[in-house]
Amino acid sequence: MLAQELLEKLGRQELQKVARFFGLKKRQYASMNQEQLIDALMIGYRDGLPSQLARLTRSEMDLLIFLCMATHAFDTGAELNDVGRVTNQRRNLHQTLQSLAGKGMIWMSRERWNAVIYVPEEVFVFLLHREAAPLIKKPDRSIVGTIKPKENYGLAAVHDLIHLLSAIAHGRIEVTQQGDIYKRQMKKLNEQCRLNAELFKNLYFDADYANIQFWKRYLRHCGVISIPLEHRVIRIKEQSLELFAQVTYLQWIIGFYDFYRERYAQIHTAPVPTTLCLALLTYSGQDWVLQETLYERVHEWCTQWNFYIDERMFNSLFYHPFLIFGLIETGIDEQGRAAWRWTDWGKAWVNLMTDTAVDHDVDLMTEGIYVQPNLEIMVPANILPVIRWRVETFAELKNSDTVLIYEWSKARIEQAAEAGWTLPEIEDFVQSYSRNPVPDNVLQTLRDWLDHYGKAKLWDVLVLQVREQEAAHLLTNKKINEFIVTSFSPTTVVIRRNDEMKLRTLMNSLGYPLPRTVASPDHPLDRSSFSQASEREMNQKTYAPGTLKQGFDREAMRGKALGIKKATNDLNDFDLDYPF
Amino acid sequence: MAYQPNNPLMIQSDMSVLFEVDHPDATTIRHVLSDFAELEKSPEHVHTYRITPLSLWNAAASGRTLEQILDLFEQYSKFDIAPNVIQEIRDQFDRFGLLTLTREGDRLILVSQDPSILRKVFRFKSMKPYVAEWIDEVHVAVTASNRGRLKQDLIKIGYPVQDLAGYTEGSPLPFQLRESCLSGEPFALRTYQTVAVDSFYAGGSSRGGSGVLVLPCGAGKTVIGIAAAAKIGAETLILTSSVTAARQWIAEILDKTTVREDQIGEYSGAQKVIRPITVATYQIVSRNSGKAVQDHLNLFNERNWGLIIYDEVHLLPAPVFRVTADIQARRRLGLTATLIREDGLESDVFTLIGPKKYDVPWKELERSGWIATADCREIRVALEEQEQINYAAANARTQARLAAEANGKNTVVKRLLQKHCEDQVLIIGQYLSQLKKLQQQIQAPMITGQTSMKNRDELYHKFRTGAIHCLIVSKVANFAIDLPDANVAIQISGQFGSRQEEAQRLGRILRPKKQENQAYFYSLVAKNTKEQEFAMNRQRFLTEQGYAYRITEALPAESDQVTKEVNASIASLDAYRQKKRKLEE
Repeated sequence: MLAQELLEKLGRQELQKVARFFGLKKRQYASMNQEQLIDALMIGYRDGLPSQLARLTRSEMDLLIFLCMATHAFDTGAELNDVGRVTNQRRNLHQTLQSLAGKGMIWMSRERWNAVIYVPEEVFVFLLHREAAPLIKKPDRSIVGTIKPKENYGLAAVHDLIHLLSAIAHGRIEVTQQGDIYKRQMKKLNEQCRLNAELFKNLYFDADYANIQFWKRYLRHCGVISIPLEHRVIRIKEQSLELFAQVTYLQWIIGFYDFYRERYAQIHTAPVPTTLCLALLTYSGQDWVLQETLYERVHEWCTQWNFYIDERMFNSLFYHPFLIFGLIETGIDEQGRAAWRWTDWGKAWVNLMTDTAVDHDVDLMTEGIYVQPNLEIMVPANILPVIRWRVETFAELKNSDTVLIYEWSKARIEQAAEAGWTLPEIEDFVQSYSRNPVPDNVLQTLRDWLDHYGKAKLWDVLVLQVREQEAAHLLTNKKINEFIVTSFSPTTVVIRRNDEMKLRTLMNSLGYPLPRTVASPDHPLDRSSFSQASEREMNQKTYAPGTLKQGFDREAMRGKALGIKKATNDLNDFDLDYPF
Repeated sequence: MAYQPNNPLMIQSDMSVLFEVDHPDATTIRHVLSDFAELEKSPEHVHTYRITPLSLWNAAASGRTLEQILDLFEQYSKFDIAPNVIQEIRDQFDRFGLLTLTREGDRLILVSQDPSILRKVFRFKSMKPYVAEWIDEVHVAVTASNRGRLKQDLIKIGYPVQDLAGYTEGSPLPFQLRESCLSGEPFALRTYQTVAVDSFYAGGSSRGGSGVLVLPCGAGKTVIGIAAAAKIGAETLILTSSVTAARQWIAEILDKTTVREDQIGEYSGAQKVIRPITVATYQIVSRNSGKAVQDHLNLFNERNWGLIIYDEVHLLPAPVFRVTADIQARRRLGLTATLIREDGLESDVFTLIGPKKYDVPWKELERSGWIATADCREIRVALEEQEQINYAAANARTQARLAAEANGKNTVVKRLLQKHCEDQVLIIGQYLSQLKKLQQQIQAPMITGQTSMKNRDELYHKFRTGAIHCLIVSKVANFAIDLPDANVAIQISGQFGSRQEEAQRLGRILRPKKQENQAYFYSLVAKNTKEQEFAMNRQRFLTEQGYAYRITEALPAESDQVTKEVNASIASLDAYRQKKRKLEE
């Protein structure tokens, strides 16, 4: 929020109060209209801010600095509850806030059920410079010898996210009643993840597969997936995904980091001067820096303002997420001390944060893939997400690393065809993005795979059969005829599954009630997923005598139904009339 | 390191290196890269190399430094390098020479400058039986007969040993390579052949002397083997895949070296002559008839061999593996074009014979003209109506057979013969019934396992001299058959999805040609059958060597005018022959 915006929100009396604080005489502001008064005050914000701030009381200044350095009050606003929870000025908090608001240093608005505090950007920038500059100017601790690189995860985070999305899109990820992915599935998903669960353990109390939990929650937070509990499977929202895939990696990383911090704040509630730390971080790290240097500076500042931040928390909030999101790499100097520096992505992120360049990550991205004649597709990890997603549509990941190696997959191509992709579209996509001419055998293989696809179809229908010739006239009934799609014989016809209930009612009215069960060559258990009717049927069968025995001998039942094996005595009264 | 889109190396954290070969500095990069990484795949645009502990130790042994490797990465890497890769390379370089195996009289001594390493090694249960005596903290005497197994087990536990125990020199047999062959043609080793021999021999030091050379078919592996034997100048045992191949070796040795005929012996089913240079077959040394196996395996100790050459080393049978483990004191050279074993024992080959000493992408030799340029095509042949019905009703195994023996293939073969009427054509198949049926239709001579050696040699000779231009062969001709002028191969059926077989069959036509250096490889595949999937797998090795397959569909027989003409001409030729025979009678 800019100071101008803040002032525009104030009423006449409040403005005059601010004017008094800014040193304007009553005779000066009394004659001014609202606009003139705002203009006059803006001069104070622009040119006289240091002297205005010097007139604040100690507790007001402390709170203002706290708001700027440790909350989002300058940006998205800080909720009063959060401020109250983490500040050590609980007793006089409201009084101090009211006082600051009266002096035009903050703006408090009521959003839903909570008060949200904003600090004007001019005030924030001034204070940030004042607080950070002396810390930045302090000399770095010197590194001993050469640095031995230790950790650099590159774009592993982005890979894992797309891997999870792809698994959801191509498989069926089931969830528990609480909306959690089943552990056996998480285990499977975890196998292809590059960032292991251990790296996310400080975000969750249950550290098993914390990585999968993090990505799932993040995707849900972004609205890309939903978990309709009545279906107990994860669904992808196509439109959100479309938007999501258009975003560059760097913007994803910003999203990851914000989400990470929010999640971390839910577990650890101690105050942290996040803004100050980020400012200090962005000013260093162009080359190797010792990790302890930055912590010492922040710690010194915190002590001065009666904060306490321990080193572990500092690492968990800054170095650790930056490392796993590929923004920094770490190393060790010859004395075994940890050092860090920004990666290319980190530098682009810093540029984005400080806004000193445009197209921060455009040079880091590529559009080219390598289509190899051995049916492999090599995809650099820094590919545009939207292209990567398309490759996921057609091919299966074999190896994920700096270069992801995919292999064309018949199953995926068929799924793509089912989703509406045509062969020319697939060919066009490959030819557009391949850095080399697409090998002839690859194109031919794709043609082979799609050649026969969709030429045969399965229909989900019901078959109505009348047993006796004298009842066959029923099928010529005009009302019944409306339901008939096609007929196999004069006594056997096909109807739509949706018309089942209507047909039952009609047959009832004609005096030919249909049995409650729908006959099938399969055991009702096998059909349970098809319709509610079969579920009912299954439940009814549970109470029937001898059901369990029948249930265990499924092969025998199938055998009888298909007429392959001689039926056992136990099955004699189990009537499975097979219509085809 | 910033992202460098124009650089050609992409270093993966699993220690593989992807290399864009279209880069202007590709030759320089390849030269360094191949010293410390093994070429795994070389498809058209991006080659895959793998850095292994063995490859790094070999690089260290040959004088490459860690700095040179890191410089190469620094200069040519497209992306940041995962720290674990650098660390792993450093570690392996550090490990090189940590354990050395030396000889002291009859004893072998395992030496380490760091006593804790030896203690760690012999804490493993598998290592305890090898200890003959703890001499002191840094010297352990080990049993000499277990040299091969000891090395194998040390690699398994992650402590490679630098074998400096040297080799048995073997009985001397001085001989030289000729400057011109017996036929009068000038003869000299090609550049890459010299490099291959040198990298194997390593100046006679213990760093060389055992290893595998991987070169494409037709690149002259036999000549390299002979040159290596000449350089060592000792009695040599050569193991080959067949009698025909053994005889080819003998002919080549006589043709290109100063070795006399009485110095070479053939040890096969037909004759068992052991001489300073003995060429044996794998079949005879591993023939399973009770005690006989052991008798033939004695061949390895029959003379004081200075070198053992394993031709087509990917075919090495299990008994020979075992014996090889016991003869680690002798120099060993493995030769192959396709180091793929469907049983996955490639690593055993490296351990027992020695590491890969040299390899070169097939396409590179093709570009230099040392092997023929091959045009690979897959022709899809539709099943006839009745065949389709039979195919649908058959079980999986029968389906494969039905697809392989599709009738339509014979028609396509006839068309191809018409097209290549002036070429030397090999028709290769898996099933005898299919080959016989085809033979009846095209009246070409045929070699199968049942053909006597005499007839085989005669037919091969006729084919080489051009007296016959088409030869039908079963899988007996898959390996080591030297038919230099064959320039067309038609594969009508194969062993399911065997990649190695496909590559070897292509290899039959890759020998450089005197005139146009062009070869054609046709693979006939029944359309919409399992054979199509098998074909895809079979072709994988060749596509990974940079060969592009073009896939075409055969026109149906009835609509094919050319086929009709060919059928008519063959029918009239047949009628003419029968008429002539009657007249002669």
